[in-house]
Amino acid sequence: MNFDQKYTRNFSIIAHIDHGKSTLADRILELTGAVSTREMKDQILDSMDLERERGITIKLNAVTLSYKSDDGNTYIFNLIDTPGHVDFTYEVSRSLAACEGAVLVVDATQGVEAQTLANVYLAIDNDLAILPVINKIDLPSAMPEWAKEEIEKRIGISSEEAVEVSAKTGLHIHELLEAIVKEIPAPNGDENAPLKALIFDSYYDSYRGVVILIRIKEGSVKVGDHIKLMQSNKDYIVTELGIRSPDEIKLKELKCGQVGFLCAQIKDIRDVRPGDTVTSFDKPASKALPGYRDINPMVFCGLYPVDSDDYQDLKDALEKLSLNDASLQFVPETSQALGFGFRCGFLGLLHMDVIQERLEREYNIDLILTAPSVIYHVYLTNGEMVPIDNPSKLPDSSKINRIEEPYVKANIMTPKEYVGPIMELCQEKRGIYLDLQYFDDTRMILVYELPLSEIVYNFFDKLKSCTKGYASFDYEPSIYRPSDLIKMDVLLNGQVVDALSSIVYRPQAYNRGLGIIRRIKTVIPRQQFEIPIQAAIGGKIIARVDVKAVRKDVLAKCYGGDISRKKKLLEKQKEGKKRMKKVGSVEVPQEAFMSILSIDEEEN
Amino acid sequence: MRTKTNQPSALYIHIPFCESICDYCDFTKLQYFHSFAEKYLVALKKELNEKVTNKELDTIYIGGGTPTSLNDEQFEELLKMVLPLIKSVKEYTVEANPESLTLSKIKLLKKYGVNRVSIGVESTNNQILKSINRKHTFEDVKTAVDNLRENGINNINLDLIIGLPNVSFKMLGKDIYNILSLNPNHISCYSLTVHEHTVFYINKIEEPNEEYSYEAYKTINSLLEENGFIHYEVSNWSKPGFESLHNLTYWHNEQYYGIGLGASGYIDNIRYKNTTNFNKYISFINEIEQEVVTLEDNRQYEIMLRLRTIEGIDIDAFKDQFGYDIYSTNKEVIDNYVKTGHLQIKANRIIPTFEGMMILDKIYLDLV
Repeated sequence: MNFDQKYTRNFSIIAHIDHGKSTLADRILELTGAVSTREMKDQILDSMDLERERGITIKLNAVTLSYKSDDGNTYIFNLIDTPGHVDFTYEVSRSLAACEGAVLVVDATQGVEAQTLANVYLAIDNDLAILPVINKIDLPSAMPEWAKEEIEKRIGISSEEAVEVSAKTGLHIHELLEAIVKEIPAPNGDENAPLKALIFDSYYDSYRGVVILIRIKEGSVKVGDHIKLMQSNKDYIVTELGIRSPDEIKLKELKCGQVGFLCAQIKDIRDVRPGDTVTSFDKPASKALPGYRDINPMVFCGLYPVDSDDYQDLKDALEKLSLNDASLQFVPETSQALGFGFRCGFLGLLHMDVIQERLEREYNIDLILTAPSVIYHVYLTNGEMVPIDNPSKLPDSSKINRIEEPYVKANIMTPKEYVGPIMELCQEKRGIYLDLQYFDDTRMILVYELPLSEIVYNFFDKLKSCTKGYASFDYEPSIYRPSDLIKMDVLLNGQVVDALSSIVYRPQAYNRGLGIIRRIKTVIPRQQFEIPIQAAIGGKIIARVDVKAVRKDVLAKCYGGDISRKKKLLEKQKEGKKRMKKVGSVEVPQEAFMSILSIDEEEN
Repeated sequence: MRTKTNQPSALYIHIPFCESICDYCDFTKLQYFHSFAEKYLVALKKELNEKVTNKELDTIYIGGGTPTSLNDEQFEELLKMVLPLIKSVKEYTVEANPESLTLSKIKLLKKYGVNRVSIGVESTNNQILKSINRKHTFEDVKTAVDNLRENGINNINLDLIIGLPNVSFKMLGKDIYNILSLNPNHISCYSLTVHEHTVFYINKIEEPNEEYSYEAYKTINSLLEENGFIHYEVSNWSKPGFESLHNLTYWHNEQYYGIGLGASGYIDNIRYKNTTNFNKYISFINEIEQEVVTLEDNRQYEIMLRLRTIEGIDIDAFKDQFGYDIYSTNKEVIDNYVKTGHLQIKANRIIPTFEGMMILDKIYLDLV
């Protein structure tokens, strides 16, 4: 492929979940002839099974395509995929920063959603040209004109040029490709300036080390060049360069405007941070590319193997996963109740779910996760501040001057009839009201500052249930604020189970405690003795429920034919038992540790 | 460690016919027709002759279905085919329904060496009996028991079902009182289980809840113990020396022949179940389901079955067979059960108490 900035278009696709981003990407791939239909698994950009199952894109990806336009020229398209979840806002913004334009996909039956809006604003922030596309026009319920109005009213961009397509049937995809050529500007970086390449993704390859996906903003890079990563301040020699189409094509050089991959025998993915700038070691750029931010895990939980013999396997698995996921943090931790495990940090709940599932599915390790916690800033009476990400590690209350907790700024978009219930919910979740605005005739945007711990707790579910699923929601970290917080312990059969401790808002402690122990009661298998479950604050019991003893659990008739049948039944029960953790003399299933999250105070 | 190579010394014969089908029954059974029974006996005899190589059996049990649903000729034919096997038999049981246990059948039983009869009483309340589609009354039971005794068959078991719909606790007490009045030497009480493909299941009859069932067993147990019975297995009580030897074969995890439609057996480390397809069976096509019992399976069976009786598990014998000390390996768990009054360690045996017998599934899961 010959390369000329003039004939290059770098773009992303922005869409709400289910509005057809991946399908559209596939159609584009087909029409540009990059891959044949036969080779294509459904939706090729989402490469992990897990992602495909959940219909979400977690890992970024980029593909270089070649398109012969009606104007007779052949264009290079670099399609850069973006993840679509609140946990990954920063990564989305870095991917967008690698582009000159974004294709905005709006479902002709659904209109503009809050999530889309958040990403469109990110694109606008990055000065991208927005090319609106109305998708699913093959559906009988499609209202393309209405969808266009939506775009104009809500986003405030012209939708006159919007292409109406059906990604599913392939209708008007050609028109879309032509519009990409016309509407999205070509890159125009200085080819002769010192190298400045934006890192927007990376992954670990056991043969080549970290493979970095970059967009050359200025200058160029060749194999053998001595390069430097400006934020992490590490330097390497480039061993390999190339593009993916989607198969790798190795190149000797990546030029200004190009999107491709770079290898340099980099061992640790943590040195390769999204948003960082690759420059020349000898002739460095004077300034890094703007927009870089350190990304830090926001949600922490304990990860323990159900079977303590799996500890080493879990460690190996986490190491392997973190090779490819710089935002996954883990340090060894011990729990009296759960033994040896790890305290892990995640970008958010989805990230946590994904890691858990991958550990269980790909590495076959039965896990116990403790309820997620945020990082509390605990100010001691001696003036020192200790960050606490594990409730059981909270210092004695006599030593604490105050505790601060992280807040987030949450944008909630909702049909206006739900504004009341949402405000009530935010109030109950200790939210601080910031703003309420009309989005259009029917919808409003509510802005609240909320404690992250409340988001982690059950905010999503509550929001869903009080708006029948019509509200959408995104958040970004805000500041730390002091709160009236205390540690609540849970005692099983008289013993404190450290892994069940949580930090709670004092005025809600009783309800929260009762909710937690009631929930735990429903999942603890009964024993031959009665098991008290108690919630306690500072050694004082505030609530109690009992798991009744098993009195009868036996097959009355056990003769000839019953014998094999019975054993098979018991075999199944035995499998279930394997997934439980013995805490003292009580068997505790996985769910118990998460019950801190799923309780509903209204049950009380 | 040894595996079982000796021949079975127990024989079970299944007679799948019934005059009427009870609403709760999920055994292999079908409506009695003369011609069906004729053909069945032919196939049964063939299987019996081919399979039962040990002629020195200790126990024989003819169950069903309802063995006494056969007519007298067929009944006699059945007993005749078993006759060559009874030489060394100590216990020879036939199951019977009170209404079909006629005097003529009783005389046949006696004539062919049957020394134990097990009667399905189920309830002593005639209204309840009617409501579950049983065709007998409690008076029929009394008559049958009297007739058996008059004809010299004194080893009698009476079966009772706990937790039938609309049976109050008071009625249960009355049942036990009535049963005791007949002075049997063996009583079995089974908590109702509702199986698929039964009228009870279709009518969504619920099994008694845990609390009811536990209290019922406890009440029955104390009444029977006061009257000299020993609770020797989860659902079985007997006067001393009248434990069912045949059924103990199962709970001792020993081998047995199983003959007939849908019958199960355990021979040469294989647990099998005969076809339940009547037409196939009478055409001598016996497609059996089988489970090869490995040493590990056998260990699990041993724990599951041995703990059902008050003999429990002999720690040394268990160690001889499976190579480890079950007590020291599970000391914490077992000691905990001892502490809570569910198990006892006596004469180097792990023995369940009444409370323990009631939660054996749980104990089993903690021990395997």
